[in-house]
Amino acid sequence: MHSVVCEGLVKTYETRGGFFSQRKQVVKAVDGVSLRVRRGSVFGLVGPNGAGKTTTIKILTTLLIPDAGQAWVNGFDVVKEADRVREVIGLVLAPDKGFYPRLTGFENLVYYGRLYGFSKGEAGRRAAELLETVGLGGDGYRFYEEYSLGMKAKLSIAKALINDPETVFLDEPTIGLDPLSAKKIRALISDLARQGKTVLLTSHNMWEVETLSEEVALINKGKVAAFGTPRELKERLNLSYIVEVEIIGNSPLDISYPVENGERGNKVIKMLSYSPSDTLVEILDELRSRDIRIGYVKVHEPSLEEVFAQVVTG
Amino acid sequence: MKTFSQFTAVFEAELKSYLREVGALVFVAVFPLFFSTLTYGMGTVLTGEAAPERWLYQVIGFGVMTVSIVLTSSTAWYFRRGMSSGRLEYVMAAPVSPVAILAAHSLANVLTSLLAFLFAGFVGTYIVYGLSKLPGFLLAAAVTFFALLPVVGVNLVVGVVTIVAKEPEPVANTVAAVVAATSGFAYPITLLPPVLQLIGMVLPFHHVVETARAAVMTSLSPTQLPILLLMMLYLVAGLAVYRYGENHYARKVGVSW
Repeated sequence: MHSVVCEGLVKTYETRGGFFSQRKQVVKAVDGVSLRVRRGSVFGLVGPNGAGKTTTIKILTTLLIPDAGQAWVNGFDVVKEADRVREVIGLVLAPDKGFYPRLTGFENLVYYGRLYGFSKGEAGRRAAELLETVGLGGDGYRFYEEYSLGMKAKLSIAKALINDPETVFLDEPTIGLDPLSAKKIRALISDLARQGKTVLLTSHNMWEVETLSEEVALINKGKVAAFGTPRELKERLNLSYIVEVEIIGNSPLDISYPVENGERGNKVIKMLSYSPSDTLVEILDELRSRDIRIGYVKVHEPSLEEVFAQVVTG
Repeated sequence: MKTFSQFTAVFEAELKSYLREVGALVFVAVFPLFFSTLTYGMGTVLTGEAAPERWLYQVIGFGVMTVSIVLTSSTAWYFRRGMSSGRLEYVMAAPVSPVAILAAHSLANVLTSLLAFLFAGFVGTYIVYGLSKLPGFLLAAAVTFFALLPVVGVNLVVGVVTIVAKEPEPVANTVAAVVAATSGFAYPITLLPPVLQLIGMVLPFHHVVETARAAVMTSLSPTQLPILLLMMLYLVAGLAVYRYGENHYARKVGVSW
């Protein structure tokens, strides 16, 4: 049912002023994080810089040992069964890192394939397939150091899939990419979910997370501040929708709703509402009763960005 | 089988990377020949005696020194580059044996360094002795290969210190300075004060260079073998320190830069 489960994860870092300095600073990067990620879904983990997203991912991918709490990936304990976890996960930590600069994209993928235990031939076949999948088919034989940022990001996704993992962790996979490259990466992520893989995604691009993710956890100061589907989060925070109705022609303006000038020279009714369907029905009823012609009708949903802003700033 | 595949993957990747960075390899091959010529020239001017064997003594000494220092610093750099490039995190997130990874990395290093040593030593031996001593030199190269294994143990300790201190240059350079001064690469360690002699005797580098010199210039003594075997304890200790460092440090604080 759930690919990723974590309960009460805590991770503290200790930083010193210098090698000989006694001045210590203790930073609680993750403070009791609990999550459940449904198998075969895309799960978004969002939060401001330093909120604990990457630390959570590093714990789940066995790179860090938590100070407290427990976590399981595909049923395996990330501390006690770390090797089993490593076999079933794919990971992108930074889209432009992690490869030998003087090896080609193909050679780098073969290298990682063999780290997962594939024979050289098998790793080569998988590498060639994945290069095609991510759109690097013609560039696999170029040195990694010659790749653009977008190509590096695609290669990172290919690397994360080299072992055909059940669960893929993508930490800001589109950071720094141009819109077209980012779009391609998003399409790849959607494909992964369609193939039944679980994807845990972090990003600062709220639109991206909202578009791709079925469920979202918002982390702030090491704690899960909000959790649910994007719609649930908006409803829970009672964020208002904007209902917009265009009035065509020189209609009488003595209606009971505020009216603004629209883009096409017509008047537009704009209403903030917590219950957009009720508001819309009320407006349409009034306009019909007065024989006012209606142009377009739009309902603007509050974005995840607004949820993020409200949760982070309180 | 899986461990072997991982081992060969790292070995091939590292070897390809080294061979595609020709500059470093050329430096390691050429440096001992010219630096030994410099020190030999200085010595000859001071003593007024020219003796080609002394030049070869220096060639082999600097050859082993270069290989040893390159090896030691390359492990520090393996961690440094791995940390800054994010490769180390990906390796640690894969189901791999860290021992296989590090052994393969070290082996690739030893082989490429040895290639450079072969060039320098071969040229030096040919110039001084002609073809007659070349078989002895090949034996020296083979012995040096095995004698360098304890150095891998030292490298692992240096690597762990690099992870903790996150400063490869000071760590590697400090080790290199101690090793260069106390291992008898350019002069017999009997010239040193007793404390420095002791450091030289305890570290494996002095035994590597003495074994290489004996194979080319005199003959290998049976007493050298037990010492070299004893030095293998460095390999065991290095692996133990690495494992401890990985579990008690790397996975506690992370290895990102």
